[in-house]
Amino acid sequence: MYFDFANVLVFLLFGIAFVILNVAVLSRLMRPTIRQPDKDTAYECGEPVIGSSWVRYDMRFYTVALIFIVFDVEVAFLYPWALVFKGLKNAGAPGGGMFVFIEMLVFVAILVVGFLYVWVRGDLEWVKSMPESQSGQGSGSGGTGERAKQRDAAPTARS
Amino acid sequence: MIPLAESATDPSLAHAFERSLEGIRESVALFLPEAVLTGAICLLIVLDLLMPKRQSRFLMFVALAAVVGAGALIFFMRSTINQPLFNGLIVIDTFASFLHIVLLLGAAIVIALSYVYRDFENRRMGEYYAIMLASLLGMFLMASANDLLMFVIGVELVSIPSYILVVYTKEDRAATEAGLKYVLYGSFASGVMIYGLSLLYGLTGSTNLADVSRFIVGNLDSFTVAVASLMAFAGFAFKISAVPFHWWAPDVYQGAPTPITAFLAVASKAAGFALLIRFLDAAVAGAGESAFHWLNAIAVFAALTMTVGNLAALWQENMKRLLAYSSIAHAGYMLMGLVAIGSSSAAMGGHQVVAFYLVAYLFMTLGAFVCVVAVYNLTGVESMSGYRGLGRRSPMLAFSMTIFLVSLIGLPPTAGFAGKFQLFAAAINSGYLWLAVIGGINTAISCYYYLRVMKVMYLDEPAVEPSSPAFVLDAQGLRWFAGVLVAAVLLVGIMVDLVARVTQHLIIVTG
Repeated sequence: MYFDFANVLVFLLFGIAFVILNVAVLSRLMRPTIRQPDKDTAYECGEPVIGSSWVRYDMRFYTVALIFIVFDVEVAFLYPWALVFKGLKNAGAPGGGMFVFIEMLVFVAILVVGFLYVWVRGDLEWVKSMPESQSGQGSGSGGTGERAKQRDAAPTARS
Repeated sequence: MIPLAESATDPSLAHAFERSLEGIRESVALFLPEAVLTGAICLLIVLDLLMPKRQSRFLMFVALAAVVGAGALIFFMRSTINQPLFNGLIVIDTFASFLHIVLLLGAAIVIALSYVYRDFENRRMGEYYAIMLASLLGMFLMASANDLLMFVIGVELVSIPSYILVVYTKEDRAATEAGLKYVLYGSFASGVMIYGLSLLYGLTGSTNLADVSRFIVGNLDSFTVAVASLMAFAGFAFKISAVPFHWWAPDVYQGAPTPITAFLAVASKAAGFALLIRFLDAAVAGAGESAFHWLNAIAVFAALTMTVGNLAALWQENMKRLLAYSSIAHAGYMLMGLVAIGSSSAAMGGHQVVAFYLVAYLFMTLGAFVCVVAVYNLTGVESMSGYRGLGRRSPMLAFSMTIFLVSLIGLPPTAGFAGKFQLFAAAINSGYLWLAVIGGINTAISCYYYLRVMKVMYLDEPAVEPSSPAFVLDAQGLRWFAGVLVAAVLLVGIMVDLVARVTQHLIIVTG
């Protein structure tokens, strides 16, 4: 077993040596050296660079990414389930189909709670100015905006 | 594993699939307490969305009802059951049920404490309780985990909500800093743990703890097994804040809202110990003599943990930071009890004495945090200066704090003494006299900083003039809250048999 790993090690060493030889030694010896300021800028698909690359991203990107992952994973669980469900029905499990069906309903229901949460809190509204988007104003279920405003009134900081 | 697509065509596979489904179906009924918690989490989130913010603090009663309901279900359904559930993914045994009750007790006290905590006023509390219950659910899984996958799911389900809870007062810079540190340390520790567990899976070809146990017991001297187990230990040690994975604890305990600090110090630690005990029980308990160097390693970790915790606590001026180091030290004492994990004596086995100590630790630590919350609510101070002259400003609070500190030192007639006595006895019975001596020296060191708090409370001049109206601190309900915990600490201390009779019958089922 350890001998198998020795193969990997040899392969790895050859790989590292190959890269170092080509990039750091051969290429350095053969290439012409012409310095230009443009060459030191960040690569933005060949366009002139606009602004610094150290920018802050809008928090909403993270929220959307999180919601996406949750529902992406949900689908990833649904597919194998659907496959098994079909086989289960064919195998004629006594009442088994119903049990498995209800299990998945519970799973989806829990995810729906999460969906309701982001919906009511206004995280699905994109076109808004920053402070309002945090408070979830006008999230479609009348009257939440007022409550949301109260909710985010800044509490006193700890002394 | 069953190739799922073929289960329809191959009758034997279909049969195996049927059996595993049957196992799940039978387990669901016994999984009801966890289902109650899950339902409560969803209900709390929905109710929180429907309720105005001012009333959301009353959702505490929903959370409390869920905790009480789950406790009642465990008591009546599971307290005598010893069997694996969900085809061996988790196991319900008396050890798990006992830990579940302990966790629920801790959670109930923390939930009530959150209700009165000053910084949580005018805040949306429904989701706070939902997140806390989610963390509690993870602790439940940790306490009954019987599969390496469940180890990971349990730890993550505890950790991720804990990160959020620590930064729940998100405009507080100390809390956000603590939260960031907690996330970084936590993800690193669970990463190392998962790597260790995956090595164990690679070695055994199974994630089931019974299979892993069989392999480890047969290969205790193997270098790979030792490395994999040490890596897994990093995750457990992070949860119980044992040296050298304790660095996060002081900062996080100090920065987090105090009820969360209490939750981390008690519930999270209890769950971490449950997981560690399950792992050690699987690895060492059946191995007898050949496991001695594993126990030696535990003993060294125990000695280091208590010494570092106690020495660092000597200089602390912030009460929460002091209690953080104190909780590190107590993790060391409990690790000391774990050297008896392979002991044949039922009464003095490692997991029995640690389970007993967890009960004592729960009451005295939560009690101390109740006093910290009371003082903070009234004065806004968490440092030692806020406790000056507390004996005159609020006699009952100072008295309660004194009892909790006496118990934390481990003096009779408190729960701390009863628990520590068993830990020391277990260590000595297992032949670790040197460890017990180190524990004794540490207890002597710890007297200094605990007694110093008492000195500040009773002998130092109050920070406020006795004539000023702010002199008298009326802790109101919190006074009685602390009083109940004082009664619990004394009761456990005096009527040791009461708890010991339960803990001595704890058994661990693997497989």
